[in-house]
Amino acid sequence: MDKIRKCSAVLCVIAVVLWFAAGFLMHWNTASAADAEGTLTLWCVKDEDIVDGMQWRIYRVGHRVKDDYVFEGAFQGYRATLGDKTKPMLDWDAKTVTDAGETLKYKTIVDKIPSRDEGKTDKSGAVTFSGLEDGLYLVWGDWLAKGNTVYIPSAIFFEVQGEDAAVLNAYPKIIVSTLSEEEVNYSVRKIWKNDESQPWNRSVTITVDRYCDGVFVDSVTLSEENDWTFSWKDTESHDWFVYERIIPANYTVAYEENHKQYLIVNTYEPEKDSSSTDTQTTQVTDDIHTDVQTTVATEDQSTETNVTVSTSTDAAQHTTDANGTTVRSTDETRTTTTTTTSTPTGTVTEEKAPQTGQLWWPVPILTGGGIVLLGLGMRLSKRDDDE
Amino acid sequence: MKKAVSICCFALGTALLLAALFLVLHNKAEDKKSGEQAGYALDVLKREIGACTEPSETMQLEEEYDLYAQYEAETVPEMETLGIDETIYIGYISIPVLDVELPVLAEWSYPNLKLAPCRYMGSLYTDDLVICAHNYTSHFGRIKELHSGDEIVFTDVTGRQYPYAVISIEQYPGTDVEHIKFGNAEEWDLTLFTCTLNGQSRVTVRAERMED
Repeated sequence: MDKIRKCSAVLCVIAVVLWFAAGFLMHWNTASAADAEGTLTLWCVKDEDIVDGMQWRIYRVGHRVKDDYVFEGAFQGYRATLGDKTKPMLDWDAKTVTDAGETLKYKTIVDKIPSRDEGKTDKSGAVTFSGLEDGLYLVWGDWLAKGNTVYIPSAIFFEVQGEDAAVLNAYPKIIVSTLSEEEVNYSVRKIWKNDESQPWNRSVTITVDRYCDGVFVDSVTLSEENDWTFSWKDTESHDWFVYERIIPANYTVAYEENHKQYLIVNTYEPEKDSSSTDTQTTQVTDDIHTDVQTTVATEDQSTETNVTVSTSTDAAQHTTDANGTTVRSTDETRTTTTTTTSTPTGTVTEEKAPQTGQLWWPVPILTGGGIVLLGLGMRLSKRDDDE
Repeated sequence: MKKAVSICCFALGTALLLAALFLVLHNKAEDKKSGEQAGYALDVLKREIGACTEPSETMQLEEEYDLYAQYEAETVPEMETLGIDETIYIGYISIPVLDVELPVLAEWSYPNLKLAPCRYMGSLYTDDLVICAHNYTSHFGRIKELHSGDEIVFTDVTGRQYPYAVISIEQYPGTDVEHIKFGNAEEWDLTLFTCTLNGQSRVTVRAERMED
């Protein structure tokens, strides 16, 4: 009897051990799959030319949710101003993805977003980033000049997803250009898209910040007065880019460039609930100033109100709002508020379509009147004869 | 007394009938003259278009390097034009089912409308071209007889043909410019309009572009 009791106790202990062991093994396997870390190797080769010494930076942008990505961290809230809002990011065409990559690259420079990691390409033209968790990443590289030749890399997105993507190899697009010491023309132009029938949604002016070799130079204003274009001259050895400080409400932004011409393309993509009032807050921070601009656009009223609040202070504290926009709150000492309201033109019109008709309407009246009078005359004449 | 009234009625009735007759003859003469002017312009236009050549490949390559060119074409579409006797044309329009073929002027004005149909607004390149014309029978006077599916062909001054198919015929008051210009703009690519006989409304023909 005791033997049976002992055997039962041993079996119970073994069962309990197996139970916990199974649980631990299941948890371990799951955790291993979830915490799989990927490695990305960039190969920088242009034709047969190995590009060594090129500096690359990597940023974690977001993570996958179903068939789209959710931006996170410093990129949170920026998704709504990129690409095609009507489609998940996985359905974007190649050009839209490329433009979004360049746009985010500028954002990392302007907002001084720290990179997750960085490195230079080695003699084989490769640079490797490891320890990458599942998610969406952006990598971009610096211009690399060798003598009169400059190598210009494109920013690229890539995704680490599951064990299959543990080791990734990517071959970024690199443009090779020959530099000259002569001054050349640079220009920036603003393009409005998808709002031809509702031009009142556009901002009256936009402010564009110019950056040279990653350093802020100045701001220029584009408007209809200057045909939304600004030009300047410089040698080819500098890496210029432009950045739209305030993205108009309900617009996305994309940048295109060929290193001498810079396009800022704002595409009108209103939210699905068109009756709602859209408020967008964007800010630009430098060492001294914080400029916060709030643009309120109500479609029904077709009226745009821009409120610009400028605050100057040295003591600052960074916070992130619900939309992911980083706002620096301050011990405010001086605030200036400017409000401008623009009302669209062309919606109310007394215009009349061209008069393209000949004068036909009197013909039946004249004819009818003539016949009646002739008939009356004949009748009167007949009566007169009868009498 | 009755005789005097009777004579007055005869005289007034005859005057009214003569006025109506005069108006008809005047309109017909104006119609005929406009038709002849348009016919002359059309002949010259066709001859000139025949002499035009396609842009060279070099020019196209140069344009591809200009980053702004793609958007200039998109935002400010400029149709090519051709000048004949100080009048600027954008091409000619053919409506085979009505046996009508007419040159189209680049800008509309009342003097221009007496010569030929005119571009009211829009462009071939943005599929929002609106053409207006007088309701002379030699111009757009018979467009109300068109039916869905009837073919309209616009030939620009480079000789390229743009075929369209009629999708609807509508009538708007002359003051309803917004509908004439933009009504269901996403559905149509070409609009023709002219006055109705009473001059108060506009017969508006919508057409969609067919594959080349």
